[in-house]
Amino acid sequence: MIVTGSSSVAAPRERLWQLLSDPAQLGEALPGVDAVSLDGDNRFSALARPRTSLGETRMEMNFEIAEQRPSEYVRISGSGYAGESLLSLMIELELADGGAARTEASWRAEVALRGVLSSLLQRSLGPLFNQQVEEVLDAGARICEGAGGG
Amino acid sequence: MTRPAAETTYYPAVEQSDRLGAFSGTSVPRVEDKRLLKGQGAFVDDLWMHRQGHVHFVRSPHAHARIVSIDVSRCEAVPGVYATLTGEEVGELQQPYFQMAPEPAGAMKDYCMAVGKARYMGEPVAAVLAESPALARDAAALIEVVYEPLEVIVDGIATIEPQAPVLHEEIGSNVAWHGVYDYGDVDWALENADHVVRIDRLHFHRFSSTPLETTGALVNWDPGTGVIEFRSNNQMPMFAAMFIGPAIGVGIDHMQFSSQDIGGGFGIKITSYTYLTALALLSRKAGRPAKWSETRWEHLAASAHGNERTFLDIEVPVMSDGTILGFKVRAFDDAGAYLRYEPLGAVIWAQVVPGNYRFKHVRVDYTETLTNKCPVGPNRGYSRLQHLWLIERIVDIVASELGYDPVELRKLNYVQPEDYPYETPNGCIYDSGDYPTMLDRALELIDYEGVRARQRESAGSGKRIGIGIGSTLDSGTNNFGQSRIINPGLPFSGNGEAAVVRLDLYGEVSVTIGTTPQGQGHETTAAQVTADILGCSPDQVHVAAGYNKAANTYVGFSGTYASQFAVTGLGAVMGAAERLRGEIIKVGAAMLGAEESDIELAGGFVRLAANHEVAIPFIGIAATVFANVAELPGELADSVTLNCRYVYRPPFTVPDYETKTGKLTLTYASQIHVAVVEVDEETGQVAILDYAAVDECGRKINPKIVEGQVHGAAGHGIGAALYESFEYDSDGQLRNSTFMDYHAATSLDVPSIRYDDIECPSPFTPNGAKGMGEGGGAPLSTICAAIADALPEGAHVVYDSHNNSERVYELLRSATSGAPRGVEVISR
Amino acid sequence: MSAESGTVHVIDVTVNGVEQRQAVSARALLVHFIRETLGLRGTHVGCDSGNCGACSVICDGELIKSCMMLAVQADGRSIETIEGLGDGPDSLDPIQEAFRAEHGLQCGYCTPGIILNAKTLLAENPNPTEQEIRRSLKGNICRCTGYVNIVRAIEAAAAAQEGVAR
Repeated sequence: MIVTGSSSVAAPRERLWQLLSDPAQLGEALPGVDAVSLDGDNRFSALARPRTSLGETRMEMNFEIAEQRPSEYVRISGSGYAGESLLSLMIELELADGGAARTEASWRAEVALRGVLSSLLQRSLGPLFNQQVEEVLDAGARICEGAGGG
Repeated sequence: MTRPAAETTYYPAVEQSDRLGAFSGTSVPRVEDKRLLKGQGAFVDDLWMHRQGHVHFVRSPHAHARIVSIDVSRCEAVPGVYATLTGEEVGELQQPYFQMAPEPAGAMKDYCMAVGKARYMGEPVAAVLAESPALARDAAALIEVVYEPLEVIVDGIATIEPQAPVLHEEIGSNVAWHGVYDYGDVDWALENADHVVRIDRLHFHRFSSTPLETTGALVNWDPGTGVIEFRSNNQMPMFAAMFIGPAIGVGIDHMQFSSQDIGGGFGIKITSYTYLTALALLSRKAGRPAKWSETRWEHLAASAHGNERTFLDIEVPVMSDGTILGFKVRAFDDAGAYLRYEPLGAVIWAQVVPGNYRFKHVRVDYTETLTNKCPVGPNRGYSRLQHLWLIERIVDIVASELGYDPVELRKLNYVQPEDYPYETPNGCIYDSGDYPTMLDRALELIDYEGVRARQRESAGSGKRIGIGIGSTLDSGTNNFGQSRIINPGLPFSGNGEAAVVRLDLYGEVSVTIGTTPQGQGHETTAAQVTADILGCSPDQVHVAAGYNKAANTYVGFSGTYASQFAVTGLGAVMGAAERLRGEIIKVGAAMLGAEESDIELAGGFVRLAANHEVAIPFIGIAATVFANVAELPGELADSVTLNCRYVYRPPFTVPDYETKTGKLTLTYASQIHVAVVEVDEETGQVAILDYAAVDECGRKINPKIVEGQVHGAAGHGIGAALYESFEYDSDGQLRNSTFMDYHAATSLDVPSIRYDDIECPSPFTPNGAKGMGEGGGAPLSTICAAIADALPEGAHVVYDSHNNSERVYELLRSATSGAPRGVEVISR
Repeated sequence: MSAESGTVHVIDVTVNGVEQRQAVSARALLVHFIRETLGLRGTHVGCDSGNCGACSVICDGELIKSCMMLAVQADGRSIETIEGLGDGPDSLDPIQEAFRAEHGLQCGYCTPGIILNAKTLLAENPNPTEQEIRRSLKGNICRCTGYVNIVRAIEAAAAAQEGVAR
């Protein structure tokens, strides 16, 4: 399914883009992340346990930062297991200035879920996915702040 | 209302018992109830075997994918995991299952798990046997399966196009079966009729009866004896044995099947033999019993669905007086990813070619196809459901388009009470019935005139009232020879059921039957007929609960399915009881020094008709034969065992493959329903204001049980009509595989059902009864007709058997949409 | 990972009037505790999403779905299952008698949950209307009866109770 969303993030655009396009930093921003392993410049795998209203789902995912334009765009693809179901996604994020040290982030994603979760989540996949994206962005903003970027 | 026994030119004369009467026909309270009410039933998950392990299946999330590799090493390393099983191993351990389809589809390779390729979402690809269900699930999550996703096909008609991905390469296409059934001369009828009504498309949707207890089994392949014990809730165990045996190379004499209580079957627990096979293989590999209980999502995604059938290019020739001459149609039945019980569905509908009507000219061009969806199973009403819905939609649409009164049009075209036994265009014999009377009763029950008035008054109120009629048949007692119409090479014909009625050592009357009841009350009704024949009370008759192969009371078709117990099961019980009666009388006469004609049976005693004081209780008869036999004359002792087995065999011959004709079912019960609905113009929501069901099933052995079956079938039909539909997306993902999203009808959805019945005894059965449990699916056509009746002038045809509020909303607005209505009338 | 990993807790729970002290896994559902640990098989599992009601039991006087409660959450509580009804292994209580008389069950799988539903309904509302009965039953799915005779059975049970009360 196609999912779109947007969010206002408390981090400056360049700094946020740097995080999103760097596997090492992006991995840390994943919700409920347990372990990240890097695989080259643009790839990483993560073991995460995102919390949703349905509880925790154990996810093992491989990600690739597939395309990037400095400070304004990043495209990330990912696939892997969510419980016994398969998740694959491709998200394009566009970043624009959002005022003092803030970024307006908007995204378009193609998300495919296969297995029993596709049935359980079919009504809420869109909002759930957007919720997770927002959490990643907010976590990323906290990392940016912590690293004292800007 | 009863009818005299009819002429016997269709079947050899049947001796109808005149002994049924004291208890048969009364609503004796059920024997089963005490244990079920107290939670003392023994359902399969309640069973336990020493050293058992628990099974969890890893299932494909893809609807269509090549299985590249399966790595079980991390799983097997977990302490407490007893064994794993992969599709690759299965491919070595079993032969593909026997297929009923002729070539090329008969070449399909079907195994108990996916071998090489997964073909529907949820198909098992690997299995784990472990110490506990939780550990089995946790360990199964460590199994790594690598898939190569393939293109998915979910459209049951587009799947036959050359560009569609092929599910089974060994077949070469996704066509499972094709044939044309052509009776009478529909081309002549279309040319000569006063009107031809053309309907573009009607669609019967995919749903299931979803028994509340899911599939389950406890299977032990004993390493010492080589005997496989299956304790399962499969409802046709001997059919299962016939498939499992050759697949794993085990003789049926080395398989034991048993079940006691089954939480609903409705046909969905017939094709579970695949899971039984997987459990047997796991059990052998681990040297332990394997126990499995299906979860609800697994049941909804991967047990069995009802057939989905699309009807295209329907043409109906109608005379100006309203006589409908017949119809022609192209039918596409979507069987899902594997055939299993299919393609029997491609002929089973032919038990009711003209439905309740006197149509003479019918052509059905029938194609069965394969798609990346859950395989179908013989869901309640199997295959007749779809065809009868089509017919009733046709009748209703003809009435509406040509301006006939829906009641009068039906009565004009119905098979009339004086027509029975009625031979249909393909040689089936309808035994008895009276649809016009039933329709009148149903209309009375809902106060038809009163509701029509309310309908007129409700105009403009925002709520539209509609009244709909649905007529169906419940054809019962199959002639399995009809399988030869779809594949002349199949070694099946006729039908049968076995029963043993005996005296135990102290004269206890004991009955075993080859059936697998799932709530139909066999223990009670079998006791009723036995009691009548032996002159005792049902309390004195013990019918063994459930099914047990070790009781040696079964034939190839033993089980409980297809609306036949009252005929086959009770026919077998009656035959065995009569034999036992004969033996008891013989022994009693000898012991009393009387002639057999002087003897009668009453109250559990053998006595002189002329002097009731001279009597021997059954214990006396049994004790003599079993423990004191030297006191009997030698000839007599050699001729009685007090252990009487009987196989009831309906008088079928093999149908004709060339003409596709024959006697396909023995009995034809019927139901006529009427529904009053209220449609909300703003939301499309449909509320049922009133609902009536009138049933006819020949002589009723236990009226309350019969009525309960009518209620239950109506509940399933109403659920399907308004609330229940399996929805797949284009990725082959089942969108509603839990009860959160698959809305099984609740107590707020099924209305109070007004019930009435008439009795038209069957002349062809030993007891005048007809099988009746499936029901015929009348609510589906009834509610379609009611919704259609509520829609504004010019609205589109109600084309689908499932009408949720979204669809009704669209139909309400369809009159002004400008799109084609889906129906056209050509008049001369 | 080892068998039954996860923490184990000791719980004190009264079941059908009998006090039990048992060790349970943190992840165990109440329904499995009832069925497997206590061996009370009358409570059934029919779904995995809390919709079907086959697992219904009475917990501290309230009808709950035992598949939606963890066993550890039952600590300190009082549970009544179908086995608690009647005066012994052969007796039926009045609600059960009414179901038998009205043919309010067929396969029996939903029946324990429905009986307990009826019990809690009639305790709270001794003279329910048909609509109130249907509303009470909404969380219990039956696939065999179409609910018609279940409603009749509960009406009969209510009438019988009223008769006794008078």
